[in-house]
Amino acid sequence: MATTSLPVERETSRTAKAPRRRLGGGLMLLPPLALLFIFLVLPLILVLVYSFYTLNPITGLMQQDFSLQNYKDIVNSSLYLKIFWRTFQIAIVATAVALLLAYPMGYAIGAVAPPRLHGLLLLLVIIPFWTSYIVRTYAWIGILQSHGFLDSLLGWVPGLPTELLYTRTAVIIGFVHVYLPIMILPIFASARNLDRRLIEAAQDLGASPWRTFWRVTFPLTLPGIVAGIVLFFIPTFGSFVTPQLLGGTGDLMVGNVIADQFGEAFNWPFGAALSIVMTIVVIIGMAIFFKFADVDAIYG
Amino acid sequence: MASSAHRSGLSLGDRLLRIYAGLVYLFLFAPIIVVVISSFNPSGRWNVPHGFTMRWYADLMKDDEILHALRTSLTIAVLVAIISSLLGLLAAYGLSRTRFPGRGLVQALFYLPMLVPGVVCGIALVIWFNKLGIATGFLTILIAHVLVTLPFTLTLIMTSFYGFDRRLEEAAHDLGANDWNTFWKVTFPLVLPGVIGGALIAFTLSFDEFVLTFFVAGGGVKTLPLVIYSRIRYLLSPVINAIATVVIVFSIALLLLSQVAQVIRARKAEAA
Repeated sequence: MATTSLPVERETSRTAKAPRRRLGGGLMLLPPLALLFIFLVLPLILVLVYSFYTLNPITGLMQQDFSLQNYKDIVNSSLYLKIFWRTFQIAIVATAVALLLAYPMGYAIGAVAPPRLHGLLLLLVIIPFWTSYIVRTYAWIGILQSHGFLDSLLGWVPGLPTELLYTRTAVIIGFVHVYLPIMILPIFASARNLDRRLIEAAQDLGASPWRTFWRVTFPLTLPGIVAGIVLFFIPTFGSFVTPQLLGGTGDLMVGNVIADQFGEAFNWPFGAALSIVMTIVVIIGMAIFFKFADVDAIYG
Repeated sequence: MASSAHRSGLSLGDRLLRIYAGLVYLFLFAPIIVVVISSFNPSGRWNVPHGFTMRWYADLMKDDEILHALRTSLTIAVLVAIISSLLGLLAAYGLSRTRFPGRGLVQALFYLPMLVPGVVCGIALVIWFNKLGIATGFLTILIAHVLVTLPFTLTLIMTSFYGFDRRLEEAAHDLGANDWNTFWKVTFPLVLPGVIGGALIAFTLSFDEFVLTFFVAGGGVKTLPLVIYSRIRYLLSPVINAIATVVIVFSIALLLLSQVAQVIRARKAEAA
């Protein structure tokens, strides 16, 4: 599906012989680049600068001298380390649950369904993704709250958990729902490119289905799995809406703490330092993505 | 492509896989279905409805805060669609037509808004606007939305640039057309479906955008997602189901429209 394909460096061979005079290609890059530079690069640099400032404890004003105090506070405070650790745990669990849903799904669409149905089946995956994040999260409030839709539908089943809203389970469900499509897509892509003959060969040679899966199918779809994991983990780790709306008050994530520094707490330098730490985690995630995932194969 | 997809008779494993996939689809669509159903539920609560009502839609028509926010969101989304697809067109043209050292880095820069967590992007903009002395409001929302939609419009428009035969442009040149004419007479019509697709995606993303808007909106301007957010936190009302249903139908219609644009693009590329 073209909506999800990232342009990769595929055009190089064609551009190589592109002729001279063109509507100044470089010139046309200037307006969008200027926008990105002025409203993204410079602001991010400013966040980095602010993260070294501190608040004067008495006046509450920002002191603009270089200090590592915020970072020290983060590392030395059991509270913030705990929040980072919790955020990590929630994101990992959500990613694992999502993979259990996304892998069979991506495999079913890519390797089992006939190719003529690929477009339709993927469209059905994308539709929920393009539906407002806030609306979908709101819907989960209605489904999971006590006397909510799930209760009303299945309340007669004994032993079924009710009052899921404001628990970690609700947060996990919310994350899995919101970002599942972006995990399915790369897994679909690698399953589609899977050479079925290799699987048949393994089976003909007497390998059990279990062994065939782990020795043939799994390694061949691994790039899609890694891409899916990273694409899911990054926005989950950085989220603040889902835990805010579905989670309990004692179960906040780093995103909530950052948001609070700009709302209630009004400590911009500390919020900036937390943002920098969060961004570093995300960059490490991206590095893993580009190291292990063959981007060309996934989006080709 | 899987050669064995048409094997007669599905294996047990494949059959189980189908059921599993069906359940995942159910999970993906459950919230959407529940909201739509609840918007017609006379009880106004979250239960399996007994009956049908349009009352919440009637209430919606009288809800000035929501209607005003809807107008604001639509205005912003239209402007973002135009600006973002225009900038995406410039960037796609520039990236596909030039080679210079560090080009990879520039291309990566265009995807940066997609990679930086929304919260970080949001506070970065708040700090920046504060530093520049720009009051948060309509303009700052517009800037933030153009920023987050640009990677998506660029991606879509880029695929159009790859899709057609570069020799068409060269032929136009050889026949004496200048750069300007070549662009408008040859290049632009061929990439137009991509530009339209990009504009539609930008519109949808802007219309639904929450996290950045939350930070850069300031007090005065309220977009629809902001109103929905504050209502579901502080004041539950079935009117939200009605407006949410409208938003859902609208988003799906736009997505389908952009898919049609994609198909047209593919056809044109084949024909070209």
